[in-house]
Amino acid sequence: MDDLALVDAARAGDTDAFTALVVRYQRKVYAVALGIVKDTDQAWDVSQEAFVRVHGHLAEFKGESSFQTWVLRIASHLAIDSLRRERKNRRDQLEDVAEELIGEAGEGILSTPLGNDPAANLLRRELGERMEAALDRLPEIHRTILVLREVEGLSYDELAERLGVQKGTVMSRLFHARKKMQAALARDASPSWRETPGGEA
Amino acid sequence: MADCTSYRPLIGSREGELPPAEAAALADHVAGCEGCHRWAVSLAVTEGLVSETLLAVAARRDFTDFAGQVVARIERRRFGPLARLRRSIILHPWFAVGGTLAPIAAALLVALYVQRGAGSELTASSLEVNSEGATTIIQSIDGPLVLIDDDDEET
Repeated sequence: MDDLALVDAARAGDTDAFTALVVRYQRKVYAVALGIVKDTDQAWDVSQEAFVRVHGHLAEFKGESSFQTWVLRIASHLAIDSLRRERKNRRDQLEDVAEELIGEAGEGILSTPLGNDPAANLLRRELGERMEAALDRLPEIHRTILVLREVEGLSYDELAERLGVQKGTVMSRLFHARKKMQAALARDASPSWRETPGGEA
Repeated sequence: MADCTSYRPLIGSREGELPPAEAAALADHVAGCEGCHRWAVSLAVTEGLVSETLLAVAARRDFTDFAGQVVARIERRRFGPLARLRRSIILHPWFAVGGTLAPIAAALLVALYVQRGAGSELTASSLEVNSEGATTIIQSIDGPLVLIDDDDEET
């Protein structure tokens, strides 16, 4: 059964249909929430709350966007709100990534050792394994914009609207987020990567 | 280098996100700039990894109870103590009586306000102010009120 049919059924009070929608999108919603809030319990809570809100507003869902877009939007809004509420008590910094490494990251430190064919590169798997820790080290604003861009798939215009900033700020913030992420990925990489960022691996 | 500073944040844009002229200029620059080319490759290497990683983390978590907990949370909102309190207030006979009487009370208040407004107009119109030399006489509903100037008092 497709999403719209399940939404219609859930709107009519069919709990099983609603449960099916939850099961279908729970992991993706959790992934978005976790990417933004970092804490697993908080992400779990945000994800559940997102589905509760969805249930409460089913009548308003017109199907102009996909159900996935709608539920992810609600989840990321809640995650960002959740962060804002606790922001006063937190000082979020990129602690473990040296400034010079961030500078190198802007020069594409991951490119040379990996070669120019990313699809064929076996080291991508290794990078993936390191990504979780790298995301963990990013400051809140950079982690958030990366998740919204790469998991929720928002465009520059949508990011600008969601974050309440100019499109130019979005592009700049995304650039810095990517630089820091690459620096964090490279930090724990095998020494040959970092020793020869501009030369032969 | 100045070009790189302005071009590099544009690398990673999706099709249609940049104006065509800007996209073409970016492509030209990247083709001829080793640093920007390396940055573009570096981004391509990690493209999709954020999403893959977070989904992998989510996949490792046990979601057996998730949907059940969501439904339970909805039920709590619908039938929990707070919902019962809200419903009991809304459905309470006093609330119903209050809801019925509210427009009547509002109408009475408006009528009272208008009447008081009209009353103050009467008071204002009953005041006649005459100045005779330095002395001012105000005709109020309680009779004439004579304000004697300091100079008159002296004379």
